[in-house]
Amino acid sequence: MKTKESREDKDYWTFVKACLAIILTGIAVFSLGQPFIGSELILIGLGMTLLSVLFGKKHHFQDERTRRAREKAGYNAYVATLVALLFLMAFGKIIPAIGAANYWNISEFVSFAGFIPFLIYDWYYKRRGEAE
Amino acid sequence: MKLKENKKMLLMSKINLALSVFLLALASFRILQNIYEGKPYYDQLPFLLFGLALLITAYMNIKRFKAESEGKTIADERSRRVGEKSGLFAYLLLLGSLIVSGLANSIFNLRLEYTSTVYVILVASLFSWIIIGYYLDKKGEV
Repeated sequence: MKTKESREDKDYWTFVKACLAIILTGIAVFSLGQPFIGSELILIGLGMTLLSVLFGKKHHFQDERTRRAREKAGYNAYVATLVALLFLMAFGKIIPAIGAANYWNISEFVSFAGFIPFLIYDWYYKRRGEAE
Repeated sequence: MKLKENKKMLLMSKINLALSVFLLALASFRILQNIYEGKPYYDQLPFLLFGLALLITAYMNIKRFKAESEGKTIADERSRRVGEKSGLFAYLLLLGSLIVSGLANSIFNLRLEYTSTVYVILVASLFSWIIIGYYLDKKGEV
């Protein structure tokens, strides 16, 4: 049976590994001739590492309630992302400036627009405490 | 009273089912016509998606109303949780596929047009949600 400490450690190191993977991807993209996108990824990875250091291991521990809140937040953010994608597709036909946009800009924008609702919903459900 | 309401809703769902089949047939016909004439067929895809969504919703509703009229419950807390859990996985897959396709487009200079690419990603994401939900439902450890 896993103890709380070992689960905390596992969650924390998984997050650190994900941060390292993002930084390495950024370096690879940078060296492949996309310095702007590469530096963006490196900055995101460094920011995530800084946050994990600041908040510590306690923040990464998930009990049943926080896991449930995250699932609910993920579902709501998924619907929000789908709606954002549908709107972009609809406006891509109507507004030429959106239709002619670079694909990376669009995908980056949608990812960002999808991630913000996730953070807000996650915070909201954890704060409300009725995620069961 | 509830049985009466259920009967009305069942009739409504059957009408929706018929409408969705009609919409799907029309959209498929238009897509095939556009492909045959060499025109872009992406404009018809929303009708196809809408028809599919309507078909699935009508089918699920018919199943639910029939079960309710027999006194059974088919959607409980567990099935709602399955939908939310599969939604989280589908969300992560959607974000991952968007970032990877965007990176691949920039690095390898693929010149992807976003409306057509996003269509593919959107449909794949919806199907992944359904498939993951089905898997989690069958696994039964939610």
